Amino acid sequence: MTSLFLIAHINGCRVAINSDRIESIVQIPDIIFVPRADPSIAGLFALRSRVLTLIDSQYAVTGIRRRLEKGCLAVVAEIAGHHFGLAVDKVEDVVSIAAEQIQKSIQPSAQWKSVVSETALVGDQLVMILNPAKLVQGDLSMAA
Amino acid sequence: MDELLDDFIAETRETLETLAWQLVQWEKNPQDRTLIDSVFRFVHTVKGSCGFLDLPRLLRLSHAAEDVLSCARDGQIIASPALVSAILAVVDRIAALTEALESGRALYDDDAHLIDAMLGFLPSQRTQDGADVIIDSELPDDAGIFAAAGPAKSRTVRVSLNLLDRLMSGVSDMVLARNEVSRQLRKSQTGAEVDHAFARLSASVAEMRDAVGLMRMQNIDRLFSSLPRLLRDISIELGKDVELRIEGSEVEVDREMVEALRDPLKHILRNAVDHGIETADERMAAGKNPKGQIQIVARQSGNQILIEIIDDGRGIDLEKLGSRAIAAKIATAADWQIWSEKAKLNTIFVPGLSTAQQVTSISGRGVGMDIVRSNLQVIGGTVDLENFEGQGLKMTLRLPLTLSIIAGLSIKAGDQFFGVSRSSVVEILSATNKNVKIEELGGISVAHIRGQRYPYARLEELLDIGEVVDSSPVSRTLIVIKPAIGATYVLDVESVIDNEELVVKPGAPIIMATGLYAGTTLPDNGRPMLLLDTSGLGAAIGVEQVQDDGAGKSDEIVQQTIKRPSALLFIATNGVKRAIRLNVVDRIEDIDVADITFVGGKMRAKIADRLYDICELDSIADTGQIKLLRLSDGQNIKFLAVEDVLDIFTLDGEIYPSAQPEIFEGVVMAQDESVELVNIYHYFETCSDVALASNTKALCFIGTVGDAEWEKRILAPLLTASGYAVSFDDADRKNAAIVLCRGSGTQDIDDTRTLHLRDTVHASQMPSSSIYRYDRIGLLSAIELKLAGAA
Repeated sequence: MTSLFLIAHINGCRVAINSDRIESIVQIPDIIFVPRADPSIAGLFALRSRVLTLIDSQYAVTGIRRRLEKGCLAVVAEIAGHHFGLAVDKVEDVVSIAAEQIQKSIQPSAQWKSVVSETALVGDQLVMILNPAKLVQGDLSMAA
Repeated sequence: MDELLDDFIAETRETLETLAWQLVQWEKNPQDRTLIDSVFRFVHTVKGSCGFLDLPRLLRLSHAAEDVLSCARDGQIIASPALVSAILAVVDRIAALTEALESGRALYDDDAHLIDAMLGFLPSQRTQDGADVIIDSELPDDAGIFAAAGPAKSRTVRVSLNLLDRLMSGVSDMVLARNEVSRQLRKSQTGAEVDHAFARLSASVAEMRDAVGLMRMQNIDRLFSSLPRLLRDISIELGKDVELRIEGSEVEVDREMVEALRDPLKHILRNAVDHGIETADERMAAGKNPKGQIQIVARQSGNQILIEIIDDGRGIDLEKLGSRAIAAKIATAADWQIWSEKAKLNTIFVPGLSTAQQVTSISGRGVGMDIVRSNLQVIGGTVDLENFEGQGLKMTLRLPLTLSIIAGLSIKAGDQFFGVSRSSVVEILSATNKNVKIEELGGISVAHIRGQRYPYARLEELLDIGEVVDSSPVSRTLIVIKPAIGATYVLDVESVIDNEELVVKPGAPIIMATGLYAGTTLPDNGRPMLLLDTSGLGAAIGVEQVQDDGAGKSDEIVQQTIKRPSALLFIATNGVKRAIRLNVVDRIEDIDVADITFVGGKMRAKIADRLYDICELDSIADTGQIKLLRLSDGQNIKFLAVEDVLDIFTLDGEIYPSAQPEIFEGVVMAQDESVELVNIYHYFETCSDVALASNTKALCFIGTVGDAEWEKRILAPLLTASGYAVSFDDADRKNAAIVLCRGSGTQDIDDTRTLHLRDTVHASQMPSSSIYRYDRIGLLSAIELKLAGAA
């Protein structure tokens, strides 16, 4: 079985996101900061008439917040009934990855482990497959 | 009434649709208890609605079906396929009758056969009970009902909520697009033609947005409007005198929620009257007012809508409840010993339990309360009980506020904007107000406002956002907030920006997890805004998390306000400082002068499609806004125009008598000046709405001899305008409170209700009690005298 994946860059690394989850890729308009919320939340933004939550994807990986400005790129995905924008550095291409290309034997570094559990070979390069649902769970250790 | 009938038809049809599958299942598994329960619930609801809509045929059918189902449920008769078919035949007949009710056709009445067929399954003594009911309600008035249904109905369509949601978000998009276009237009210099076209577009977009908003939202009044009538019928049937008070009917809720709440509220009310309120004798013996009180309060609080139903009846007898619960095998005796009071109370929501002594046509089959809970759960609500044994029962329905429009304030803190629901805001005052002091106490701050102390916090500190350091220090604003849960506190914000309608949407779980926000909203400027959860903020400040709206406490608050009335100090339109009692002031509104017109001899403001009188406003400027105080005596609303609002102060000093008591209640001291305290009655006494309330109209019969032009053209309009009903029909004569006749109607002299009118100023040979027919004041006061004498 073959699915389409979007190749995007987060913290300078190539990751693949299953296109089933993706609604669109947008340039973020004004970002409204959400005080006292989980540090992985960069803020709120409006997309047409909806209010979306912008996730600082880099924070999930590095634990360092990135300064997100108006105009940065985000992948819009619907996760558990809510719409989120996942901030990415840039997007590359949409590629098809067959199920047999996906494997779990090579695990990413500890940094990425919370959001990635599978990798796949695309062309001659290995990319990590991002699980967007993990990105929007926030810092579980902090919530506990 | 027609509206209620339509609702009933729609509701019954809808339930039947969902029930169809279950009926088929039940035919296959007659023993299945949950299926019996749901059929039972349907029949019970139909019975309840019919009883109060006066549909005897449907009532008979549903009552009989309920009897049989109740026996089947209790295991007194075994549900056999033959019984199921008999019951299904009755359910089908209910469906057919409902259809007939809508189309206005008559339906051949052989209900008795169906009922007999079904009652044949009952044990013998039950059959007689059922037969009783049939006999006492055998009224040949079905034809009347169908005739009354009338041919012309307002046409409606049922639209799925999904479609409505799509429409709504589409329209919101349109508003944002329009705003963008308007920004672009401002940049590029376009001609008047484009501006004109754009203005038209804007107007139609705004109208559409309003319309779409209305499609989804309904005033909760719609839900409450049928309750007084329902209560009246129940209390007459049970011979109990009960008074219903409804508060907060201005709350707006989702249309879906109104539908979902209709049945639960009916059942709660029925239960309250039937089980809760005692008979007048019992009440007197218990030292209570013989008239039972039921209070329904709706309010919106943060992200919830609360509906409280409070009765002052006997409450729930836990011991009795226990024995019932054990008898109905809901709990074992051992369970009952260890269960908490709350768990015990919650057994009333289990199907099949009732504490009523006997089954009446109103309640007592233990079915109502489980409908209440299951209907609420469908829309994500909960129900809580507070039992005051011997004193009453308070039921609190909590409903989520998903996608609803709330009246909100937008406030600024740091460089951010937040929304806060206006319903939890008690008052807004300036930090420089002389009545406000911020005190430090062991590291925490306390706000001291007019003798009351509240926990105090700065929003910036609470939310950990940087304060904007402005070179010119501006006066900050304090908001006194009373959340649904927790004590009142004071929030210090940079400023209050606006007062607007906000569409609330739930935030992502990760945002809601903070506990500080009630949701998100998108105002017209297209920048998302967070809606603050006032209860959550209270918790963050550390105020006590008790629900401080218990019956006892609210009494205390009432007493406090009685002891310490407050007044609002304002500058009247003529430039003079005056005061008005605060309890009649709902709020302050700024109204565009475009919405104010001088019509019908008064200044009137058009607000939300209604016209309201404005007092003390002589002239209006061409543009700008006018500050109005919204005054309410609980029934009527008036607006009082003011130049400006200054302060609120406590009326603890003496009130010196005024020389014009009808206009000024007296003179009081405020801010070391003497000001006049406005007599609020003076604004409401001229209000004619009360006199026009239809149920208080006294009927005046006008007897006519020959040409009745004068009576019809002059007398009847005068009486109608003064709040009387007028009839020329001889058939109404015996019901009339007053009989008016002109000339020498000698045959009426014995009738004490008669008032004679004469054509001449001076009484000559007419009976001495006659009145000159153009003496308007004399005539009206004579009518009043007659009415007072008759009463």
